[in-house]
Amino acid sequence: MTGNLSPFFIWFGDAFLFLRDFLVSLFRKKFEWKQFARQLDVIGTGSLLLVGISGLAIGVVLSMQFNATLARFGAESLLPSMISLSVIREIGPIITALVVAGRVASGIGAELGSMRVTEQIDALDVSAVDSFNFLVVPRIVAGIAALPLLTIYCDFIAIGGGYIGILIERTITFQEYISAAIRFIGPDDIFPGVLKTTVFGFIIGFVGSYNGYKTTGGTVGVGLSATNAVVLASLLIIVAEVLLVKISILFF
Amino acid sequence: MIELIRVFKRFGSLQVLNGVSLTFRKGENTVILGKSGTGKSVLLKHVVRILEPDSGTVLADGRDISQFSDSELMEYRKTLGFLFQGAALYDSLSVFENVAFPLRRHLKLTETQITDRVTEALSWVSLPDAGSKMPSELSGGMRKRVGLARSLILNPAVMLYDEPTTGLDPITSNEISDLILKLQKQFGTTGLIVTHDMPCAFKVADRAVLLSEGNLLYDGEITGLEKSVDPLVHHFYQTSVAKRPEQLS
Repeated sequence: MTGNLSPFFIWFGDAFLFLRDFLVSLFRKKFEWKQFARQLDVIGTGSLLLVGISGLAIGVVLSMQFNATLARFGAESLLPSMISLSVIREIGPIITALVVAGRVASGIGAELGSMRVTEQIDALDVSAVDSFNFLVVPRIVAGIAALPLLTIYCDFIAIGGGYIGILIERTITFQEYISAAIRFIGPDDIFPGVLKTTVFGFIIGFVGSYNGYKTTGGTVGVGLSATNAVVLASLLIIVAEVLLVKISILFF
Repeated sequence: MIELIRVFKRFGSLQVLNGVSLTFRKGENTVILGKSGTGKSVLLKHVVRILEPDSGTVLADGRDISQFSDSELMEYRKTLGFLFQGAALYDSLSVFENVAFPLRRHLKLTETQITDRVTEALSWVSLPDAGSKMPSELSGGMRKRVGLARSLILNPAVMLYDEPTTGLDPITSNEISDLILKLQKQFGTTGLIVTHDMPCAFKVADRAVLLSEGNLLYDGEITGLEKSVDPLVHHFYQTSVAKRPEQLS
């Protein structure tokens, strides 16, 4: 039993030390702004198309599903509000996070893993560059910064997709749709949804960086790091979502 | 001067360094020989503190490097150059940017000065026109030479070479060996050279050490390997040199 548990505790302890190193580097060392801007571009701009397509598809699907359900109760007029509330509070953040986790966590895991096994990380250290501060910190911070922005973008696209979904069933002007969609939306709907994505961004950056930076075992290890990063990040996002929903219900 | 005092290092069940004590003197080229897996590269990585010993001490000019603060470690590393076995070029940067990287990080130079320094370093390794290429476009030998240009761009006091000529053709190997000698003669650079390439070793070495299963078997002039009465040293010399005498001419 102990033999089975010990690798988990070793991993957990190692991840905790990685978190400590991240916090120490973030608050005590010079921040690498250029690397941060580069990573923001990779994570943020690079995910726009994927997040956009996902948001659009989700908006259309939600609209069609809700429309059928609401029609049974003669409550079709509530459809725009239902779409916007579901998208802003839950669907937008979680879809954005899972899509970005699939693309970015694996990408970070593979890139840093490849740098580790080809000794590029050692080369940075030997060149008197703090590899952790140079590679890891900007990626995690860029994840934290990019996710809220991507989520807002996803929300807009999904709500737009909802309009397309309605148009398939009936005629409504865009102005009518938007005014109905925002009728019941308040700050307590927007802020919890957007703020929790900073946690998702942290999870994506942290898990991707941890798996990549700690890669061992050559090219096989790089593949494992990329796979583990996306699996673990997706899992943690779903678990965090449950906890954050509970917290947001308490506070908002 | 760099000293290793009774350095032990174990990876899992494998004892890689078994109480190695060694001194690398200033301005001297020391060749580190031994079979694969005897801890030669691990030894080099202890000198730059990429790895830390399980027990034992590494001293740089009399100071224990494990006691260095972050900033002291960075200053120490600025005095070192490390040529990695696979060159370890940064994939996302061009050859020019690879070589310029240490300059941009550590010195406040104008773009013209950086260009001049990089061009000079690339000329040293006979690749004056390779600046615009990406690492993926280079052959193994070219990668190694770019790695060498990058590691010597800050004029390090100590150069660590991890198999500098492995995988290279004899002509390029000879050029790299000449370059190691040139650095020593022109700048007084201390050289720690891990190699299996005996012609290179004979050319550049002021001194040779032989590691076997984490132990120091021999420490002395490279020509002394042949005369050693230790059967393991003798066997190593016979298998690595005596069977290929034509390469030494």
